[in-house]
Amino acid sequence: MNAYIEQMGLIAPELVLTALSLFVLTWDLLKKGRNSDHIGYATLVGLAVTGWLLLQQWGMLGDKGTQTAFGMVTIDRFGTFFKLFTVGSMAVVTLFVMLDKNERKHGIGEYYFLLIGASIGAFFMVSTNNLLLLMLGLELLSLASYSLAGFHKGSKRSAEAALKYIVFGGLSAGVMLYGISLLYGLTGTLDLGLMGHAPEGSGAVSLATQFDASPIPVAIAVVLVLAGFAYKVSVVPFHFWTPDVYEGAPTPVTTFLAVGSKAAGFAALLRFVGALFLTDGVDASIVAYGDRIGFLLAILAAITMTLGNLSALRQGSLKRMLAYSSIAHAGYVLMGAASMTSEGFAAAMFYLAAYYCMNLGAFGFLIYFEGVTGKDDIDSLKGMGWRHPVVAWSMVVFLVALTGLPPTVGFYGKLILFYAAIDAGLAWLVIIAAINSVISLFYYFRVAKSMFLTEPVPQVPMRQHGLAGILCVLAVVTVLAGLGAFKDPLRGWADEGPASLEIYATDAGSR
Amino acid sequence: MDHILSWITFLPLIGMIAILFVPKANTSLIKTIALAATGLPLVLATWLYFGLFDKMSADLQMVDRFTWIAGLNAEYYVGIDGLSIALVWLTALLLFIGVPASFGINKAQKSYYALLLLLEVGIFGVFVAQDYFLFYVFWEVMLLPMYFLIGIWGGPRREYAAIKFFLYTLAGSVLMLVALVALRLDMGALIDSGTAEVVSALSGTEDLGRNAYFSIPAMTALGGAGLLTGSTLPFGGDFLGMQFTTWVFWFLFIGFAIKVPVFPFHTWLPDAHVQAPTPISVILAGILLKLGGYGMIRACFPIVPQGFDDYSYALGVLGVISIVYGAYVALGQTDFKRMVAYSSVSHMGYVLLGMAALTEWGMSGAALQMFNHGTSAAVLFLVVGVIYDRAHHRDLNGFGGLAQVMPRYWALTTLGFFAALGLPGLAGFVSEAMTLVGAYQSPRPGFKLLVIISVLGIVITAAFLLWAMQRVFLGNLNPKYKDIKDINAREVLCQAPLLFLCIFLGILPHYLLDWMRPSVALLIQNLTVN
Amino acid sequence: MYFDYLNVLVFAGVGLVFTFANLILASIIRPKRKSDVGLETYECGEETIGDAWIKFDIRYYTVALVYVIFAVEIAFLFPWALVLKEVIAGTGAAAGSGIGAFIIVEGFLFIAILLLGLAYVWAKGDLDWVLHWDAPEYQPPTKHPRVTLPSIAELEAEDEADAEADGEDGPDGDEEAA
Repeated sequence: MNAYIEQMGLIAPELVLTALSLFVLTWDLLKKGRNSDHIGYATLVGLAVTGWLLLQQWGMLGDKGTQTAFGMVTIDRFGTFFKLFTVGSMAVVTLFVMLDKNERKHGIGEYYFLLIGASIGAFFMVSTNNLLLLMLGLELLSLASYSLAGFHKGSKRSAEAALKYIVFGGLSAGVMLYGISLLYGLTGTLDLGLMGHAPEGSGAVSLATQFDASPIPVAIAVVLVLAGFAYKVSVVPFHFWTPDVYEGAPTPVTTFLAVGSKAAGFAALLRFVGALFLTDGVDASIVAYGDRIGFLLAILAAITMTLGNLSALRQGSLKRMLAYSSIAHAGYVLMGAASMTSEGFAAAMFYLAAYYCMNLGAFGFLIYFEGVTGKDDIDSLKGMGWRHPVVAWSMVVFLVALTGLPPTVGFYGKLILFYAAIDAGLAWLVIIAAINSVISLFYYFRVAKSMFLTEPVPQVPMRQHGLAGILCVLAVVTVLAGLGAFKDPLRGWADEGPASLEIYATDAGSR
Repeated sequence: MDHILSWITFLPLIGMIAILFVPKANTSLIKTIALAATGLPLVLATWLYFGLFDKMSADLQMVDRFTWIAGLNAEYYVGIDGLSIALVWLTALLLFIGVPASFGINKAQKSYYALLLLLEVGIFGVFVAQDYFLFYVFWEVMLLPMYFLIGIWGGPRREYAAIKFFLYTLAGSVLMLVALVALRLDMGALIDSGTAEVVSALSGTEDLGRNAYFSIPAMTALGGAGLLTGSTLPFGGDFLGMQFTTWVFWFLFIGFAIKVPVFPFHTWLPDAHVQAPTPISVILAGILLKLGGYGMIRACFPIVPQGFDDYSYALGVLGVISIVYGAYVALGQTDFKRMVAYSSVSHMGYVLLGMAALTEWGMSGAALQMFNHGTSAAVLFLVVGVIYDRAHHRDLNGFGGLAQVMPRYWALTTLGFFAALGLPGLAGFVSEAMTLVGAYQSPRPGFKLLVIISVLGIVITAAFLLWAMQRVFLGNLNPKYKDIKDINAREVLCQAPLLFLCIFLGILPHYLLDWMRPSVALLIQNLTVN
Repeated sequence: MYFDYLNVLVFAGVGLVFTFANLILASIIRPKRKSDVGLETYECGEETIGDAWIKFDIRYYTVALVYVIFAVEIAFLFPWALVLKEVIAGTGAAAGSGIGAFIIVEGFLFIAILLLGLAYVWAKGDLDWVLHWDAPEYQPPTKHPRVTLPSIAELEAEDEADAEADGEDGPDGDEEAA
């Protein structure tokens, strides 16, 4: 009994989120569609409690090391890192929903409910070594995202986005499940730790043994699972849904898809690859195969960043441009995974943290700007810089960070990614990434050009926006500047993540 | 005074923040703050130059150093030596002149002066940084204000020119970044290994026992000892079939060469110059181009001396092409400002030629040429600005006989032109002659031929400058401009200190050379591969 | 190891052969008398009317979805009941863990959440067969004005008016344009 309650304590953040989601749903029903802002505040409070619990957990994990709840949920610093950022980004997205001028202020309690549901999915997805629970978390995240993408029922584009998303998502989930079932068939376990290294008497066969016997089924299984992840993080060639869905979905939802959902996908991808090929306990014979997987990921990274950046060049809509830019950034993050080293994983995690900051800011700007003009094309930004200087200069900061120029966190993230990749012998990939950041400068600074370098177009209606929106964007800017100057704590956190993955592997080996 | 370099670097930043809190309409207060925030560094830099700096020493002086980002082993590490002190002073001077030269600008003045001050922070930072990470951060910090200064306050094609400038420079700096990451990895492995060779190479520097993987002096020491060869990297540091010293050298060199600009990376320069407003052109030609040359002798050649040794003749050839080609293209221009821009390409070619020769005269001449071009090019751009403000065009063929109505302006322009074409007695002559003599002395084969070819550049330079003078000032007065006003006091005051320097350094060049001599000697010693 | 799956292949093969062999055999030996009645679709002795490709009312889907969700989720109660039985009987993996109360509470929580779902569906009006909008703030995104088709007499009158207008104004208009 006590053991159960203890294990319940380990998943307290998830439980709090679940209770919050039910509370939000019930309250919305009782309010019968009156002012939804209260529900938004309730969500913020709940997220704050979750964040506090996660911080407690972070400290606890430092003392006790990795914990496992119910044999399924792995509580380690790797997962908690991503959970903290999920909660943070979710709080910002909630604020965006509340401040979005194009969103109704009544009867949208389900919006918050679905957002919380998606975070619960992300939570389980990033903190499990069990492929079944991983799949369940991914599906929960996906289902909530499908509904969110189609949240504006009256809008054809929103409906189209939801349909495309669900069709692509269903297909890729099927592909991934097929890969998982093959892995289960090969190894007799769903636990990634046991797959990496199955001790005597565990009843499972380690993947390395099967790989030595016949490499092709193992290769097929791994590639199929990777394809599922590639869809979730929109890596070429599984990126086709991204621009349409991002464009059609309500902008706060797009923010969540581009930030929270993508980071959760990367977390699961890193854990999968790390557990099978990287950690201490893994059998030696499959490590060489892991290098080949790394090379595959490197090629995908190169194609993804190049295609994403080249497609973004020609976009007229800011929203669509940010969608392509997020594809390109997926390519950058994949560099870290491709290097197949602990430093590479830490770099990928750090870059994702940076990516949270700069993309939340950029999308926050998009929401502000849509609220002012009702449009999302770059040409309507003309003169924005002179009429809304604070917001516009904040956007310039985000653009600089997205391009990867100092003194922003984007530069720092890119630097350690390059560092890890060159150390892993992927200098060619670094050159491609470097050229890509030059390409990206061109389209990012089209926005700056439109805001500052061109004269304002007189007929664009300009409405005075709430102070709240400005403050919100400014808060993110401050975070960004702070990270640019005081990067050490975050870097330390990112380094802890892969380290805790290794701790897990040694545990699994002795279990 | 402790931390004087940090004060010089960050005083403009304080000024910028102060400006952000001033209401937009209060332009006189904004201008006052801008003047103070550029004037104080000039005072400090002058004091530094004549008072605090020990010109007999080749060491880094006025060092400020503490750990900045422990995770990367990056430090806040600033210091100056004979190579940078003159350029720091020049920066302070030109930015201080840039403020009153901008008083004619009426558009969005608050943003303008704020960006100008931010630009100054970046430039100072590059000249004083001794940590490569810090150096790179400042290097990129310059780009953004420059983009907006050209893009918002520039001429009709400003958008194109601004993004072209940004893209070219960024393309160079990402190559630099790749090389920098590789260097940092190799440095980390070398210092961690702690072998006797590494310790002996670092002994005598401040870096012994510090894990400063980004420290430029440490890189110089290890590079000079022939240890920084990428042997700890995957594939032994080879990349695309090139040795570590080769590709790192070229990546760094291209990054700086774009800034100089060296042929064939020069095509951004005429556009940026023509579109930029006058004060920004002055800063661009006067200082930003020097950053490229300074970067080469600080953070490229001494770090990979092997690469420099292998390719110094190629650098000399590039320098000569820049000299002759830049001058030849300038001859064909009808736009006054474009002509001056191409003349900058030509003049900066001497810098490269002098450095490539690796003789004391050549290196000192190159350093001197950077300073002298900073003053003479600044004068030329101010001259163009004066006539453009009055006539609103810059077509060389559209004037004529202006000497009759603008005698004072003519006198100043003539002096500037003579300084630029290297008339003996003026500053340009000293540095160009030193470079050429230095290159001629070079023991390396083939440099004599390069010198002979580059003399052609001097002739062409004289031709286009004198021809331009003839078209604008001599001959019959164009009746359109018979009521044109002569140069006013503010404009004279902007040009006067620069012209004074042109004359002064033409007669007494040792006021620069004495400060440089120990550092140049050390640099040559570092660059000589045994 | 590939050989392990051979029985699956054989099983599939036998199934395919069985199906198609019977169909082919039947087509060979059955009498072939074609008539209109014989070619009609057999539907419980009723005459077939219309096309099978017709639109179903969207409400069927809602009800079907709600049904499926609850049916599937109730199925989770079976493993729960099994574990509970083991705990009470003190057998199986859960023996001696003393988590009986815990399991009971969990089961009721599960059912409570399901009930909340039912209440949600109910409150949102998805169980109503006659749909209506009662949310006061709801505004359809665009209002389509009802179009009433003109009668034939009206159309004829319009045509005549057009013809007259062409006859009078047409040439003048052309001249002006020229």
